[in-house]
Amino acid sequence: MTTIEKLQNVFQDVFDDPSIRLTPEFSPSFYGDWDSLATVRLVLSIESEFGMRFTTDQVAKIKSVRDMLSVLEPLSS
Amino acid sequence: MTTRTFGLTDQLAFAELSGDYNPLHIDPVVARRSMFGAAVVHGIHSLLWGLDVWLRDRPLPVSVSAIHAAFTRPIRLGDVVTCSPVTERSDQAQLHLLVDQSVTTKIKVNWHPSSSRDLDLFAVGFPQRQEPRVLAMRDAENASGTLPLYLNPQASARLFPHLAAAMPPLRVAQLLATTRLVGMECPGLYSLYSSLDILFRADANITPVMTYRVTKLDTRYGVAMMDIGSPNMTGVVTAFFRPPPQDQVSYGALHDTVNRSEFAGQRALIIGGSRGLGEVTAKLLSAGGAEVRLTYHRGAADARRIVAEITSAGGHAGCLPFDVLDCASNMGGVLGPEWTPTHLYYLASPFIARGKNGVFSGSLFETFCNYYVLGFHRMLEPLIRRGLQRVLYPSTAFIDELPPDMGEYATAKMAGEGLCRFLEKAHPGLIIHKPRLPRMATDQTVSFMPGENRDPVPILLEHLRTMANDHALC
Repeated sequence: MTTIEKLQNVFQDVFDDPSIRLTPEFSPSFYGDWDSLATVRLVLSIESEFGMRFTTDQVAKIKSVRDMLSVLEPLSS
Repeated sequence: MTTRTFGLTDQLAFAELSGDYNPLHIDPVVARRSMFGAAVVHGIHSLLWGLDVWLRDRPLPVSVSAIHAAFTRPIRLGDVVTCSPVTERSDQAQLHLLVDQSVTTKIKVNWHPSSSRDLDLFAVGFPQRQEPRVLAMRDAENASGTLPLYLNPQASARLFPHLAAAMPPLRVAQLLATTRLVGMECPGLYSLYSSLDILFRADANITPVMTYRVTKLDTRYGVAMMDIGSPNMTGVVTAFFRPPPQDQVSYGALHDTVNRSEFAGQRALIIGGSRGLGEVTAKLLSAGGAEVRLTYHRGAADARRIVAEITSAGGHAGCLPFDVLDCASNMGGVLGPEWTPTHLYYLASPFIARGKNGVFSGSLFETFCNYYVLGFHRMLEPLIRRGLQRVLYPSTAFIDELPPDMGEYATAKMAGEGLCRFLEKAHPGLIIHKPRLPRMATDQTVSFMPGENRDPVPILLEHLRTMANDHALC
């Protein structure tokens, strides 16, 4: 399973929306339920799923799925 | 599927039953300054309603052995909430509560038929009303304590008749105690209930207390996980330290920023001046020598606090109530004949709700237009007739950026800009400054994420100076 596929599972679970299809451009602006509270839920779920921990700086820079992938993909390579 | 709305009366009844009197749930004036812009339903209130709906259709008696609940989005008072079954097995049910097709509450219940109603004799009345504690995050590490349990069976049966008939009072009292824990104790005033996992077991000992202990604290986002327990129950409560309302710059701090006389001679009327950008505008203008009057709709206490802060430091300020949506309210009449503004600053705004991605909501657009177009025009007309010539109408950078979920807001502001141009043409001499402002730190933009918002002081000051000098007017 690719990183973005694993990430998509997390998004689908957090938002309880199996129709979510992630692209790197997917961002809060394109998904109305993705507010700052949802970002925290996403980050905590991603940390649990991927066994890692974001730094505060990394989280502050998350504006889209691309920003998450930039942290997660190096971990799996 | 079953639907309902939660009103203030429902909320007050639940607060009395549970002892969770957090103003986020029962005080619309205080709650308007929360990140949700309005009072929201207790998560446990929504859970118990969902369970009540589910139990309505169950053959009794039923024994609930475990509950998982996640409160994923706020339910505002007046929202139409739908309780929808997701899955149903012989020993487990899943329910969702939804508002506008978004899931607000996820519930999973483990249950089995019971041979008896298993009712205990636990009933001790209402908890005493108290003020919520303000627990600092640094003090939450390893915080622990004991909460007494309460249940008024009659009130419980009125609010949740099927639940009260099916679930032992002790367990209802324990569920209620978890909202008191979050909303009143830990984290207390600035809290948000996130999720509950609770496991019940049969136990002959009825202990009328629940213990709690913070077992994990994530200070990056203010998340606290707490173990809860009683002889018949164990569980985990997850809660957020919710960001408090956005404090704005103090009047005293502006004396090095603003020239004492740069706004002298202005009689400045600030519509929506009790907080946020209106509050900053009032302080900047007053610090620069303007005579300020600010209006408020519901925030009388906030407005008086600002006026007191300004006047106690030697500035000139006053406040008055005004509702831009009240068609019968005439600004000329409200001000009286002896005080006519030279400058008007229009900062009135509803809660800036985001729309759904790519879907244009007519009702949301109408809400914005009522403030940014119709209310603005209705308020302004009588002042133009009295000679007003300088107006600040703050527009938004979202007109240029046009995020897919901000179409209603941006379009309403565009309409407001159009109205401003029309009025300038219709009234020669009238100049309306309408800068497209970026996202700034206010109650509207309070967030769990750090560093997203800009300081309003330098941005507003630049536009106030431009307007005062009548240079580069848009």
